[in-house]
Amino acid sequence: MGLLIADVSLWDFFHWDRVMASPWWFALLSAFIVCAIIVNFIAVYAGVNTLLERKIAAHMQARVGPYQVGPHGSLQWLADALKLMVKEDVIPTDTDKLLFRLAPYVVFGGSFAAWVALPYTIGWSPAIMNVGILYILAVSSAVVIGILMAGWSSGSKWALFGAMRSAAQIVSYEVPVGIALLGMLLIYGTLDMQEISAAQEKGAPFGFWPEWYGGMFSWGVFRFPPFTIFAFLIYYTAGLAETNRTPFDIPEAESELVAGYHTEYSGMRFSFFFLAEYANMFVVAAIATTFFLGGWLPPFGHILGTTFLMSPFLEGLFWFMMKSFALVILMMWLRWTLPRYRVDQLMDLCWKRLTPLAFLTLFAIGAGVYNSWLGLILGSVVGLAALALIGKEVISAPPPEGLPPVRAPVAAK
Amino acid sequence: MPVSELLLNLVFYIVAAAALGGGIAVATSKNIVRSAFALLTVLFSVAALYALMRADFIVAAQILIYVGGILVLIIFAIMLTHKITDVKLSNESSPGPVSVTACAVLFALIIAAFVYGYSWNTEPRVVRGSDFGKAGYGELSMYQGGGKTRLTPAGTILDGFVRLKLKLRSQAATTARAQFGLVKLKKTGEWEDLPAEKPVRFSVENGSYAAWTERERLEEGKYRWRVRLVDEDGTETPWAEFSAVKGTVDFASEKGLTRAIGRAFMGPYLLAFEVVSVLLLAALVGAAFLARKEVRE
Repeated sequence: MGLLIADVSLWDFFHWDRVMASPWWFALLSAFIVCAIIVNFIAVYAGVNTLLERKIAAHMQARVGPYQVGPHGSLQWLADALKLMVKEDVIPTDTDKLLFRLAPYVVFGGSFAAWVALPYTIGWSPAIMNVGILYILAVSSAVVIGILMAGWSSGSKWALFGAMRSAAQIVSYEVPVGIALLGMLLIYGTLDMQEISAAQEKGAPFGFWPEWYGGMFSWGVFRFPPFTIFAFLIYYTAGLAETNRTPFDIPEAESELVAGYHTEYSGMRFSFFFLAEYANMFVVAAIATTFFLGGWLPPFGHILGTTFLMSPFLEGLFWFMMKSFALVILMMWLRWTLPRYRVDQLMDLCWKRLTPLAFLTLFAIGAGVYNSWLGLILGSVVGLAALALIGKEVISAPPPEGLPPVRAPVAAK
Repeated sequence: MPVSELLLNLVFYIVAAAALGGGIAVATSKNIVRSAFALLTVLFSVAALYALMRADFIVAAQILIYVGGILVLIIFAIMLTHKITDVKLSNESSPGPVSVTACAVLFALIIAAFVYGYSWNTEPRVVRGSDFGKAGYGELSMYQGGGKTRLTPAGTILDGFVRLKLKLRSQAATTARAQFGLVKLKKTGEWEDLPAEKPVRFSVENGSYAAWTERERLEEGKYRWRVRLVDEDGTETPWAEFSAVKGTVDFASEKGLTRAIGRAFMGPYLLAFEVVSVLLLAALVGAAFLARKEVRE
C-alpha cells in the first residue's frame, strides 16, 4: 500500500514515461487514492480545528467552551459537521444561481490543489515537481477568483463588499509573500519543496560551514540572521493576511459586513468556505515550515540516525505535522489576542512596512549568498540596530492602560 | 497492457473540450461577468495542456500571471464599472457578410494548413529499420552542466549531462529500437568508438515517436554521436552519424527547465527580456497618464 502511493504520484500522472510504464487503471487509481486521502484529511483536520479554536478562545477568555457532546465537548465537531450536512441549502432569489453554486467549489479547489505539492515527509509528496512553490502560489490564486465569484453572485452588498476587500487584500499581500520567499530561494537555489527541506539538513549561519549538521541551527530561519528571521515574520504575517484571519479579517468583519463574502451561504456550501479557510491556514503554516523551519527535519540530530518512530517516513511526517500544527495554533492564539485592523491600516502595513522590509531582506540575503563576510557584516549592523530599536521601544513604552504604573511598594508605617 | 495512451488522449480531449467550451462561453455569454468567470475555465484548461506537454514552469507561470493577476484585474474592472450589467453587448448584433466571409476564409486556411501540412496516418504503419533514412532525424539535447557546455564545429565539448534523442517524423508505430553510440576524438583526425548503449524503445512524445538515452558526467572532450535502428529480428541498420552542430540544442530538459529558462533570460535573451520590460513600463506609464487625465475632468 505504501509502495503504491510512494511509487506513483499525481504529477507522474501527467508525466508521459511514468504513465506509459504503468497500466492506465493503476495511474487513475493512484491519483484517486491520493486525492481521497487528502480530501478526507482536510475534512477531519478542519473539524478538529474548529473545536480546538473554540476551546482556545474559551480558555483565553476564562470560559469553558463547548462541553456537552462527548467528554469535555471533544465530539462537538462531529455534531457540527452533521448539522451542516443536513441543514437546508438556502439560495436567495436575487442570486446568479450558477455562479453562486460554483463558487464554494472553486474556493475549496484552490486550497486543495495546493495540498498535493506539500512535502509531507522525507522523499514523499503526492506530487513532487520541480516548480513546487511556484505551483502552490499559482493555484492558490483560484481562491481569489472563487471569493469574487461568491461575492458577486450573492446579489448582496455585504457579500460584494467583503469579496472586494478580500480580493484586494489577498492580491496586495501576495507581494510581500513573494519577495520574502524569493530571498529564501536565493539560498536554496531550487523551487522543489523536497529539495528545499533537504537543503536545511546541514549548513551554518551565513554559509560558513556548508557541511555542518547543525540540527535546528541549520534551518532556513537561521541562515542569514536577522534577515531570514525578518523574512519568516514577513511571510507569516502576510500569510495570515492571505487567509483572511484576525487581525486581518476585514473581509468578514462581523461588525461591518455581517459575514463578508459568504453572508448568503448556508449548510454544506457554507462549510466548503470553512474547510477552505482551515485548509489555507495549514498551507501557509506548511510553507513557513518548509522554507524556514526545516520541513520534515527533526530539531536535534540527523533524521536517519535517530528514528524513534522506527521509520524515517513516519518520523519525517511527525516533525512536519508538529511544526505546521504549532504554526496553525499560533494563528489561533493571535486571533484571540489582537484586535482587527482598519482597511487603511491594513494597506499601510502591506505597502509601506512589509514590502520595503521584504526588499531589504532580499537584498541583504543576496549579498550574503554572494559573500559570507559581507552577509555577516550586514547582519551584525542591522541586527544590532534592530535590537537597539526594540530595546528603546520597550524601555520608553508607556504602561498599558488599565494597569497601574509599576512603583516600588510603599512600606507600611 | 503496455501504455495508457488512450487515457492520456482522453485527458487531452476533455481538457481541449473544456478550453473550447470556455472560449465559446466567453464569446457568447450575454452577461459580461459570466464571460469573465468563463475565462477561468479557458486559462486553467490551457495550463493543463501545458502540463500534458510537461512544461511545468509554463503551467505555474500561466496560472500565476493570468489567473492570479490578469483575470482578477479584469473582474475588478468589471465590478467597479458603473451599471456594467446594463451594457448591451455587441455579440447580440448579427454579423455582416464581410466579417462572416473573412472568418470563414481564415478558418478554412488554418484547417487546410493542418490537413495538408502534416501527415495524418490513420493506419499505424510499422517502420522497419530500412525506412530510417527517410523517416527519422536526430536531435541532441543537453543538460546545462557546469555552464561550460559549448558547441564547436568539430563536435561538442561536454562536462555535464547529455541527452541523445531520435525523433521519427512520421506518426507511425515502430517495433524497432534505437541504439545510440558516442564517438570520441582521441587525436586530431582519430576517433574512438565508445561502447554502444543498450537499444531503447520508442515512445510517444507530442504526437511523434521518439527514443532517447541519457549519459551523465562525460569526460571533457570532443564527441560526435550516432544512432542506428535494431529490428526485432536483430537486423541492424548502418550507423547514422550526427555531428553535434547538426543536432539542435534543446533547453527543455526535464530536470532543469526553470533553471534553463532563467539562464536563457539572463544570458542570450537578456536584451530582448529587458526591451519587453520597457514596453510594459511604457504601458504602465500610459495607463497612469490616462487615469490621471480622467480624474482632472
